[in-house]
Formats: sequence, C-alpha cells, structure tokens
Amino acid sequence: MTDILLSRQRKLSWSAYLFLAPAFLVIVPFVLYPVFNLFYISLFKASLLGRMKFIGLGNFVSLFTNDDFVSSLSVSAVFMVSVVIIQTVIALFVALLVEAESRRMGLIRTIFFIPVILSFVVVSYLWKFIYNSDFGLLAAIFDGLGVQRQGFLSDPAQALPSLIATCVWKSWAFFMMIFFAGLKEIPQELHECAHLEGANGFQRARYVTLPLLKRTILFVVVVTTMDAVVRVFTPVFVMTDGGPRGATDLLIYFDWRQAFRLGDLGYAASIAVFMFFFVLIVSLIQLNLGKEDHA
Amino acid sequence: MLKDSPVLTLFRGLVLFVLLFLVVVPVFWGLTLAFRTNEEIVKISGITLGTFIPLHFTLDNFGRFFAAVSIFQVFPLTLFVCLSVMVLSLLINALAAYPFARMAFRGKKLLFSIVIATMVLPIEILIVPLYRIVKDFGMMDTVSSLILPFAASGFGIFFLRQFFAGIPKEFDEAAVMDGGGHLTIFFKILLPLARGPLITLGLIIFLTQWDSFLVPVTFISSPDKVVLQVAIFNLYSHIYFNDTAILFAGIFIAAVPIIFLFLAIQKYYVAGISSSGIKG
Repeated sequence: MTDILLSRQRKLSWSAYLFLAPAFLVIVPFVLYPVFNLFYISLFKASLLGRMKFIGLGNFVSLFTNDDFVSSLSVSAVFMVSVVIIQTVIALFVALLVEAESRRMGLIRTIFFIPVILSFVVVSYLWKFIYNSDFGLLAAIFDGLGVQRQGFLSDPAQALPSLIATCVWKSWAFFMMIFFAGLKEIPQELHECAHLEGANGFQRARYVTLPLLKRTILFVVVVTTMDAVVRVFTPVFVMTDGGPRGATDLLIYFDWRQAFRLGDLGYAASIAVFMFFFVLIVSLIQLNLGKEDHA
Repeated sequence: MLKDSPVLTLFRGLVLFVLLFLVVVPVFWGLTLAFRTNEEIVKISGITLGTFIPLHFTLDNFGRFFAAVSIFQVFPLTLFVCLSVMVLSLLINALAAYPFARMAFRGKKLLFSIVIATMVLPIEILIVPLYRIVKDFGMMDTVSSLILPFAASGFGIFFLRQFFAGIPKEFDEAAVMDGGGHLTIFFKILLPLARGPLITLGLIIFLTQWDSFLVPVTFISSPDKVVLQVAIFNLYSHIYFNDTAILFAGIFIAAVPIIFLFLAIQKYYVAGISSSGIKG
C-alpha cells in the first residue's frame, strides 16, 4: 500500500510545482524582487517619477550626517525599548496573576481584546481626542480632580510617552494571550510539588513558572521589538505627524516621509535597508535561541 | 488545584477591575462622541455626567457622515478588498502548503526556506520597492494594488503546512484507493479537515486587511477607490477639519462591526494565537 503511494507520489512530483505556482507568482514579484530592488534603489538618487542616478553609498553617508535621521533613530530606540519593557511586563504580570482563573474569565478576556481587534486608525483617533487638551477625556478628568491640564501630544516632552501608552493600550492583551498559551504547557504537578515544599505564590511564580516560561518571554520580546520598529506608521501619521518638533518622528514614519512627501526614494530605501538588517538580526537571534531550546 | 490566599484573590480582583476600567472607559467615551453635537463635545470638562454620556443624544452625525463619504461606495469596496484577499490568500496558501506537507520534490528545502524568510519581512519596510513594482505593473491607483500583493503570505503557508503535516497519511490512502490524485486528496480530504485553521487564518487575514492603512494611503489617490480607514482619515484631515462629531460617527461605523464580528468568532482567533503564537 505504502509502496503504491510512494511510487504515485514520485510519478506525480512535478505536480508539486503546480501547487506552488500561484503562491510563488505572488511572492516573487511582490516580496522577493522588492527585497533585491530595495538594495538596488538605495544606491541611487531616485525620484518618485522614476529618474535614477547612481551615487554608490551616498545615501548611507548622508544618513549619518543628517541630524533629523539621527534624532529619529534615537526617538525610535527610546520608543522600542519602552514599549518592549512596559508591554511585556504588564502582559506577563496580568497573565501570571489571573492564570488560575484564565478559563473562567471569558467575558473579561473578550473585553481586554477589544483594543487589539480595533483598527489602528480608530485607536489613534480615539486617543488623539482622549489626549486633547481642550475637551479630551483626560483633560476633563484632570479638571475634576483639580490637577493641572497637560499638553500630552502637543507637549514635546509628553508626546512620546503618550504615544507609547496608546500603543501598549492597544496591544498588551494580545501578548497576555500568548503568555496564557505558554503557561498552559507548564504541568500543574510542578506547582503542587513547590507548594508542598512550602513555596508561597510569589516564590512559585519566581522559581517555577518564570524559568519554564523563558521561551515564551523571548518570543514575545522579539515580536514586540519588531512591531515597535515597523508596525507604528499609523499612530504617528494619525496622531502626531511626527511632531511636536520631531518628538514622535519614529523611523518608519521618517522613512515614508522621505519617499512619499519629499520624493526621495533612494534615500528612503537606504533607511529601509537599515531597518531590514535590524529585522534580520532580531530574527536570527530568535532562530538561534529557538534552536538552543530544542536541543 | 491550589487554594489562593484571600489577599491574593482581592489583589487580583482589584487589578482586573482597574484594567477593565482602563479599557472600557476610553472605548465607551469615544463611541459616545458619535452621538453628540460639536457644541456639546467642546464643552466637555470635569468629572460630570456630561463628560461620559451624551446630554443631547443625536443621530445627525451619521447622516452627515454618510453624505460626506459616500458610504455605499466605501463600505462595499472595503469589504470587497478584505474578502478578496482573504479568499485568494486562503486558497493559494493552502495549495502551496500541500506539497510542503505531503510531497517529495526537488528544491523543497530551498523553497520552504524562502517561504519562512518572507514571514519575517514586514510590508512596511518594502513599501518603496513595492511602490515601484506596482507602478511598473500599471497597478497604481487601482483596487488590484490592494489585493494582488497580499494574495499569498509566508505566514499563511507555514501555518497551514504545520496543520496538514499533523494529519495522518492514512487519511490520504482512502482517496488514493478510489483512484484519486493529489487534487482529490487536497480538496476532498485535507481541506475539509482544516476547517478550523482555515477560519482562524481567514479571520487573521481579514482583520489585517481591514486594519490596512499604509498601503492604501500610499497607492490610492482617486477618492472613489478609498477604503474605510483612509476615508475616515481623509474626511477629518482634508474636508471636515475640527468636526469631531462627524469623525467619531465614522469611528463608530469602523469599530462596531469589527467588535461584533470578533464576538461571533473569537474562539477561532484565540485558538490561532494559542496554537501558533504568531500574529498575522
């Protein structure tokens, strides 16, 4: 029986390519070719209209002599580190706290998930008006409490923290769910053993759960890191336009503006190459750590 | 089961309450703005009833929103884009997942590595070269520029391959005994078994497309081809500047159907997260 199957499969192996053809007809022109084209364009002075002039590494040289780029890079770094730490800690803390109840908290979990499924345009506008310093929700509450109103998005010192809060508000519950999934894999007996040995809830979390959750934590940190660099175009575009005074000019938005507002495709491509290597390195780290765990 | 101390139970309840408050109040407040006049919105202040609920309930904003954005064009177009990407991508990804799970062929390893590599490449980074190729293909400012580039994904292929590979090969034999080939195995055996994962992946694709903003805002310039998210942005930033009430009528229209869709099929979404731990 298996022999018949095998010989049939060998005979039909050319048909594998037919099954794959539609996918590669999409992936080759719209993903693979753009990757190579990205590196190619980054070596040119290229306009939106298609004029190209070879300038070698010129774009990369001007990257690091451009104060706006360096500033955008540091804003992005602060944003990324803050989101990764704050979001992971909240998601992990809540997941550990309600773990035992996770099966019973159906409705609460659903409500926590609402920000995750709302589009980023909706969430961005929602918070733009919550932060509004004239009639926003926070201004109203601050009035009621007798606290001075804050500028939030219009204050260069507060704009980035405000943006960070919005992004964490939108996504933390997604990562809480991932932690739930990781926690489910930890055998209950381990907890009971630790309990018999006299470990309290905090000690069980510290010495039993956390070490076994290492792989999940790494996964969450890697995904959050990439998201915080790459998937943040919409909130900046909708809420702050990069301002005030460049305080929220995240790299992905800076990049888009170079290309589609200022029409400098080559320069934008060189920034994207920079981000490409960042994503590549982060993925390789994840791949290696994943391998270690399997061994 | 271990018993928790009363202190822990109390602390847990407190944290959950605060988090619920932080999620519900902003969403609820935003949705109420859709039912208020601009005159009322700009007077919001203090911790009063008028801050949290509409004092003069009105549906005018929706009428004005529908008139301003030709909703009977925008909404069907948005659904068309989301559903086209979903159906095309499910079919194409499933077709590609099949040989990776079931067949031996030259270059399998290389091709699968390519699929894995595309999983980690975010579209945002490739927007400049994608813009150029969309332009070269003559797809600029067309609805197909929102659909074709997303008609397959490394994540989708990987996700379905994992599922197909877990189905015992004995299931295939029944189809082979009846003289069926790979197409029969694929359509009659594997696809029906993959109903759950297909719904999960379909939902992830749909929500990703619904959320899509960078691509349509970059590729589409004709007002009659904008999708809902961009229509809301254009409305507020170009036409009805400072008209908060009409903006939030649009936000309401964009948010509420998605919340109900999620409530209806959330178990598939949650299953997707738990089984793969990977976001779409």
